[in-house]
Amino acid sequence: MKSSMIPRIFKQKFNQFINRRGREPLPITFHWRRIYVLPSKPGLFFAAIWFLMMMAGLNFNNNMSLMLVFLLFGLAQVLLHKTFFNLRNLKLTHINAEPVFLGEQARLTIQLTSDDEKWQIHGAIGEHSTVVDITSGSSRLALPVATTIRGWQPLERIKLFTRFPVGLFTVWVYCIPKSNFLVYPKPESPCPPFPNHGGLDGEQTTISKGDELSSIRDYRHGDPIRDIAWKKSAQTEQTWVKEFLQVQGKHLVFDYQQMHEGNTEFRLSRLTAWILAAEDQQAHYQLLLPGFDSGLSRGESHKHLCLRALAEQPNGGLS
Amino acid sequence: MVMVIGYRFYAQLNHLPKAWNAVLMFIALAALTLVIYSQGFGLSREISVTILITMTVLKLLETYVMRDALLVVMLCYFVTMTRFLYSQDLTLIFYLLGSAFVTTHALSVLNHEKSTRWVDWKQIKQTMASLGLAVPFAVLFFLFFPRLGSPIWGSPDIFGEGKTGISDTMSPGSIVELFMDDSPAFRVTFEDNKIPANEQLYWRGPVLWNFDGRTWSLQRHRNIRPAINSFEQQDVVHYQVELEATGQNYMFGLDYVLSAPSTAFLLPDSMLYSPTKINQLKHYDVSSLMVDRLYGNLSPFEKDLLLDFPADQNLRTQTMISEWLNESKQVDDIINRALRWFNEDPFFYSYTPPALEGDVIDAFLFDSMRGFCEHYASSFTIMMRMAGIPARVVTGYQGGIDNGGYLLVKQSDAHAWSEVFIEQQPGKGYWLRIDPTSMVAPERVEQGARQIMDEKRSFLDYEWMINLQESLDKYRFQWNQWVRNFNTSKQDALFRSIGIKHRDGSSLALILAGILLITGLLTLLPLWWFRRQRYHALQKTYLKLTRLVRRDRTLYASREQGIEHFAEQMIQQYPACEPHLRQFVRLYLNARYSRRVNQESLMSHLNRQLTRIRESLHQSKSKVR
Repeated sequence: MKSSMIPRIFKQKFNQFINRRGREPLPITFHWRRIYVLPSKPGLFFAAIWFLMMMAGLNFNNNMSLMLVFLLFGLAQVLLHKTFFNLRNLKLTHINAEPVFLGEQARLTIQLTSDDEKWQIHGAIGEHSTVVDITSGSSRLALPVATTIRGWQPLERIKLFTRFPVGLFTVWVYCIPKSNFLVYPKPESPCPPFPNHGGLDGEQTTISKGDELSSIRDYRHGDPIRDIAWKKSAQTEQTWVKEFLQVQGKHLVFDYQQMHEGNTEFRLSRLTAWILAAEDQQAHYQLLLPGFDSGLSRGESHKHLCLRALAEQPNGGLS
Repeated sequence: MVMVIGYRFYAQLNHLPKAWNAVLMFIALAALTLVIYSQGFGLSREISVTILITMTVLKLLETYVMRDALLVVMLCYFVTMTRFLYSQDLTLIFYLLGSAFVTTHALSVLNHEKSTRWVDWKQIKQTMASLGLAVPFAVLFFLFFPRLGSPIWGSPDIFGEGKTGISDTMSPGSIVELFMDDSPAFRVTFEDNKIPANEQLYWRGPVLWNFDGRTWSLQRHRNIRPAINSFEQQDVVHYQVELEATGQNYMFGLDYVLSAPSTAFLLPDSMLYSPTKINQLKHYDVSSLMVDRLYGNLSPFEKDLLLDFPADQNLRTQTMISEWLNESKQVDDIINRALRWFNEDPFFYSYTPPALEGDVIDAFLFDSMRGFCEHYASSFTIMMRMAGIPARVVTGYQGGIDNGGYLLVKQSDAHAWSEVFIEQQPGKGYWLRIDPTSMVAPERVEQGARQIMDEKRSFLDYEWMINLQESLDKYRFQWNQWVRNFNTSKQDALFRSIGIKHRDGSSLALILAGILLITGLLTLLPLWWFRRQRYHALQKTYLKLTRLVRRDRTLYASREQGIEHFAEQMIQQYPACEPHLRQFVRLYLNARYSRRVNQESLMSHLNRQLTRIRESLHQSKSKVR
């Protein structure tokens, strides 16, 4: 127990030190005081070879070897400075991310600007890293980020590093920008049937599906028995299900408070699935949440409005 | 190697997968076996270097990920270095810089992801700049980095770098290869730059005692010659020799060397002998007595050796000598008669004599009658022996070129001459140097070997080529002095000249740290200067404004969010400066975003506002106190 305690405490303190600036508002300029420098793995290998060469040169007093050795040492020094200056005064000006559904990967777009040219700037969150050159003022770096919670997910620590030009040194900065991105709830899959109580025409008219038979498909778990195409199924080995399409102009109302099963997250997930399905079928729909009414509409911006409202729902405590 | 690289190219272009490990293993083992088979087993320079290079090239076969590629490229630095174990010539500086550049650039290309072009001039320029900045550092460190006085492991001599000049045997035609070779044998710096006349410059090398009818060879000695004690001071010259590596033991000195330098023995036949093979540039100081005779003793054993010749060969010569002996038995007469014979009879000096077969002395003296120093020295020595005069052949160099401050002796100055012992009392007498070649071609000795060459030795043999080589050798000489032979003693002298008396650890560390600092700054400054943030005048006024409140951390931090936001924050903190600040913001935005404004007048307005803000700030602060 104790042996694992000490590294853990050390790691914690270390992270505290690295994250000591807290969440910073954009733009962030990376001054020299926040830049870390260490030799990279190839750099260490280079050092080992260099040391061997120096020992050989000194031992045999082979002056040309020593010249090469010192030239390489000088080169390493120059490269160290070059690498350092390649990151210094880099600016992180914007971070953008399209909203995604929980479980999908978000794509962060990080805008980096700089007065001079910067080359081979890598950005990394966790394991993923991408690379970009800044040759004309600013460039964009796209980074995938895993989503873990619904709602406004704060950004993790971003590491920007460079090994330019030769890769002997890694120069990097850490930052936790004070910005976050939206994660919609995960849509339930497969999409459950639309609620049969929510039509605009009132609770009595329970037309839960379209009138027209549109296609026949494989049986999926949860399909109602009355949709099974018995005749067709009897002819073949498989079980077939008749599919009906929602007719155009069907108005749907999704009301959070009229749902009874499941906890908050489950309900939000189901509502998300409905909205997507409704948008897919080009139906008009309306979302009702505690303290939110989307109005009846359809279209991309309406969809995002509704999804955003779903994402921003507080955890639990509603019903 | 070509095959491996070719295969690698092919594989890359066709996206072949990596070969099986077993195959690679087999190839590596086969290569290793071949290397050992061809070079023999043992830790030598050749085998280590060959294995290193073979394995580096073979590594290409399994280079499919970045890590391996980096490994190969970095090994190339080491491979570059192995070249210097063989030679440290001046011209190799280009090799050094060239390969350092190529290898570094390869690293840089490897590290540049997403590059689209094969050749990116910008990148090449960057690598060049890096190397250029590294050079001053390399020079300073080269001069000041502490050197080892003696090797920790092994000896530098196992990494020999020379080629053989004069060898320790002589058979007809063996020297002729040297005439074709204009590379330097050694360089001599005379004290006070007093270079003796060309005909006095007999650089003594191996002395050959034994003749088997065709080949002359050395006599092994067990004792050493004592130093010369009685001499005229005016005949003595002091000089320093910088001997190129030969891979042999003998060293060269002018006839006759007074006493051996500290690193060598003086054998009984006045030959300088180094206990270790000369595999690196070697410097030694010697003094010589510039005379053509050396007094000494000759034991009966030695005398027997020096009178020996194959009795059943060269009968015509033997007959001739016995005729001469019938006329006069005087030693002087015999010598003079032989020399006169060379001089008056139609002997020619030629670099391309016909090959001699059978009794070589007879064939030369009576049939071909053309040859060079080697033929004359060899024949003359045998003639003397036939006449009962102890004689031997001396090989070495003759002459040299005054190359501005030093004397350059080239391989093509190789020469051979004779030495006879004039016995004054039994077992006592003096060695007399006789150069029969000078009887045939006096200009060879007076002006040097080049004067008597009529035809070109090779298609590149032009006068200007030779001159070019000689002027290049001047730089090479300096190079050897300052780079190739830079060692602890020279470093000491350097330290003394800048006022450091003792080479103790702390002062050395101080110097090195100083150099690191200086060169660090040297490389930092240009980078910093070119890469600093640049603001125009307008931005500078804004920065001045924000600096007024730099003590207030939260307010100061909000400067990045734009002037309007910042001004709002500042007004909240310091309401006193509100009117001036609003005016400032208005002017600033005007100047920044509107086109039709007189920038200069705006700037002066802005600055005026700035001083007002400053004043009001000071007032409000003093009020708080």
